Amino acid sequence: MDLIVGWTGNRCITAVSYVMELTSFIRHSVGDWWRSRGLFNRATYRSLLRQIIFTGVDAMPVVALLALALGVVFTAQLIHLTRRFTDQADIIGTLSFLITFEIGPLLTSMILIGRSASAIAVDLGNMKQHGEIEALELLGININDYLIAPRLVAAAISQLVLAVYFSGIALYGGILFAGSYYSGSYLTYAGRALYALSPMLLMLFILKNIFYGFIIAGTACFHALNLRRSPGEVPQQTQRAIVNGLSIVFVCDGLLAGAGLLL
Amino acid sequence: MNEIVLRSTGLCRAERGSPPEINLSLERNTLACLVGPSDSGKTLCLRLLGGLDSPDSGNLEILGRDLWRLDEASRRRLRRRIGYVLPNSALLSSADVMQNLILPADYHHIDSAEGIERRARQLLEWLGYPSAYNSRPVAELPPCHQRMVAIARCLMLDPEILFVDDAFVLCDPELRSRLAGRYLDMKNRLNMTLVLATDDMEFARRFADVLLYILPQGLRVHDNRTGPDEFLHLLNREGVDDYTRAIEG
Repeated sequence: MDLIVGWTGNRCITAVSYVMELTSFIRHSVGDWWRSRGLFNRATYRSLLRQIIFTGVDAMPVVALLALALGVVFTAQLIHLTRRFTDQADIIGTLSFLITFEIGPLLTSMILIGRSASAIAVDLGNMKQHGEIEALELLGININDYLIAPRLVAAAISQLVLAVYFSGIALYGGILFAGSYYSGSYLTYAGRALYALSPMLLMLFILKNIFYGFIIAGTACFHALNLRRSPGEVPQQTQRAIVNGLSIVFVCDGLLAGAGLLL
Repeated sequence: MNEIVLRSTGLCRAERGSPPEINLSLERNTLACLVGPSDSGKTLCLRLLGGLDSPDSGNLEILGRDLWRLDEASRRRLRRRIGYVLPNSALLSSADVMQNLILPADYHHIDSAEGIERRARQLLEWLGYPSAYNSRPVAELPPCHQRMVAIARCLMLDPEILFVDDAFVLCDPELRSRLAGRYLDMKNRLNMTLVLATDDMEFARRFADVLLYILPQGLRVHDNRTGPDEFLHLLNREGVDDYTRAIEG
């Protein structure tokens, strides 16, 4: 019994200290960027743009495909499950809420973790191993300002934009399917879908996605910079970054869903 | 008397392979060569002198500032005035030659974008770097070319003191003599202080103002202006016979 309690306690302390270190790392990086007015620095601005293109723009085709498929599948399942006890308006409202507030941010963050977090961890990890980061520091360049914060900010912006894009396409797919199934007006369904989203919900949607973006890029950068000089460490730390990023996003999503119910 | 730009007193790091205490003073406009056989701790010594590794004891004063007593932001500002070329050059592998050169100047707002690019081209030309390679990714360049780009990248910020680890790494004889000429130009024309870690004893004995050699007892400093042969006598007295025999031929 003692062993189980001890092990659980140990894991909890490790998890809490990890989250605290990660939070401090993100806060410190963004703080440095803000103080040095990174957005107005040509080199940092270019780094931010490059990262937004890679994380956001390049991910659009895969997000569109996934969103369209998911919109159709979700609508079909909702119609199948609820047609006996609810009407069409409820189905579209439920679809709109589920996709915008839960599925959209969660699946977008999973795509971002799979595509960008792994790429960031490998890229920064290799830079660290080859001494490129040390060489930049020797040139008086603040790594937080030039390498880390642009990745964090780009991931936050990309996560938000991609989640909007995902939700829009998934809803479009759902409305298209529902319209064909019920032979109703697409415009009416679209109006119902928008009506289901309150300003408060939209605000939470924005905050949630920005937060997820910071977490995804933060874990990737944090693990990459924790590398030492052993060559086998890059894949190890990349894998840790992915697993920890996913875990934090899922736990936070669960907590937010629980808090939403209580409120 | 010239201004002291580098002063280390009792500088020491308790790490395996690290040199013993480093006591050294270098004046402005000096060419110092850190020589010695491979694996004698030249890189670790240079890292301590260049302020890359924090010492466990002792002081390091560069350009009149105690590097390890400065806060992070001040140390970063001081870093702009110190150039350091790592043994593997450590250029940004994802960027091309020009992007590597432009980055530090761009980050520190040295000039307008056009001005920075013009300066980068001038520096590469001055170093004798073939301009056809300017848009090549650095990962495709041979190590000696990477070394030239790394030196040019440091020079973009007009450093007052330059540390180069493995100053002539994998250079063919033609490139070696060109690079040697540029090191001398940096000292004589640009008024810089250079600390070069090198295996090239010929260059060190002919051109260095100060020769540095690591012995188990500590760093030996020899003013080479008094005569290069004195250095060999010094090493002989210290019992470094194998190395001096190898130098003499």
